[in-house]
Amino acid sequence: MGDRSAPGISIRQLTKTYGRFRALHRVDMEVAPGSFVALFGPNGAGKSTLLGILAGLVRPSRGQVFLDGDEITGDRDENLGKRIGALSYQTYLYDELTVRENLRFYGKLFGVENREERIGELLRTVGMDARSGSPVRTLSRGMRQRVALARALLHDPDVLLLDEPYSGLDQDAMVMLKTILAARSKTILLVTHDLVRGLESADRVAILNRGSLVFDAEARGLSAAEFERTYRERVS
Amino acid sequence: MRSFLAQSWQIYRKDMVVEYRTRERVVTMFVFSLIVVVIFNFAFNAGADVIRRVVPGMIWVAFAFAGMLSASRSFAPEKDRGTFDGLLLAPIDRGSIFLGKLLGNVTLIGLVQLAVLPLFVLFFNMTILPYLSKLLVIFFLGTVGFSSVATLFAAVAVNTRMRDVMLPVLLLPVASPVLIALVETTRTTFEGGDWQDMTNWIRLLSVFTVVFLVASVMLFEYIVEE
Repeated sequence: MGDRSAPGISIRQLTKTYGRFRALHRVDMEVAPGSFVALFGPNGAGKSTLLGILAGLVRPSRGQVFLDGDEITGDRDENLGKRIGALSYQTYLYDELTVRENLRFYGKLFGVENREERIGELLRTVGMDARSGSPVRTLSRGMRQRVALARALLHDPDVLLLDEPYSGLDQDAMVMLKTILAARSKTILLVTHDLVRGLESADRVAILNRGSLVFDAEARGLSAAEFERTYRERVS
Repeated sequence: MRSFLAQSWQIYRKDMVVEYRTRERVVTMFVFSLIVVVIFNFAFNAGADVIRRVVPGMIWVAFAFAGMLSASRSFAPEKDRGTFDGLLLAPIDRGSIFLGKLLGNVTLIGLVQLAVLPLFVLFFNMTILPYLSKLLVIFFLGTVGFSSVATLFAAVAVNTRMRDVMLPVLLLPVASPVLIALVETTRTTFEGGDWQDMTNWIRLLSVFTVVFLVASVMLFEYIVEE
């Protein structure tokens, strides 16, 4: 378990429909403060929709989400963005701006104090300080993902939503990401297809299939082979 | 209010830096408007009286379509690259994203107007210097009013499958009052008319601009939410 000062997330009867398509159906889930939950599921299971609702990007059709007891699915609370950091396979970076200009832009939007120091510190952490003046379009996929990680951590959020964060990362970058996440004082929700990597990082694992939560258990004591078997049974 | 404007400024500044480095929108808008000037120049071979009456229509056809291009491209690349979600995640009033985008569109349309209006004057052998102050007021009001509604509908259209088709379908019926008012006020100005001769059109332009500007800032949050 991580830091208990990080907020807990409580998801109740969460449903999201797009026309006739049901992306999420009555999902109930508890994420303990400071814990690391890995969420698995096949394509179209509703994982990204769930993260979108938690990030305040998608409005649920029914149900509620509470962050430290405060409902975040009602009217939009601008301050929610300060508490949540999102990292996905989309980097949210502008190709035409340099690495530092991108971080500076987001730093201003997120109201980051001591911006330049914080940017410098994060660029060193993700190993991109030597490329801070390079336009993002000149970076490799892995380098962009490193900068995206710096962007997600820029405002020091206490909840991290990670949607396939390992996508495009080389071995070194993966180790770096895992190190950063391991030294966390944050509540983390990770969406991934990588069963082994998700299982070894998380305190808790859950499986979504066709919009419903079909498995939710402690990761401790669960072997990779056992979990793989459970996954196949639950999503077939 | 100060932080709202500061956030809008950040988004506007970022858009302008990106545009300065790519020149993607402004070049397309300029080329489109130039083609309109050239085609209409060949199509109309009339006397000065007729020209004065038809040129305002040509001018606003060129600027309205150039404005649509600008509004559409102010959201489409953000949506395609996923950076729009990056903006929506920020702890800011989403109306400030609208205002930043609107300012960008007004700036780019203004730049294209600055470049293309002299070409209209040149190609159609017209005089605008005596009416310049009036034209400035009309163009400013019209550009802000048209851009407000174009920016709002571009945000709606960008989430649809046929976004390039949807924008004109949604925008042009709603923007027709402002376009008609712009053509009428510009025509009256070219014919040497005074402010009194176009009071009603100026009122319509002002009301449309204020109503759409305020309503768009307030509605934007609901439009961008999935």
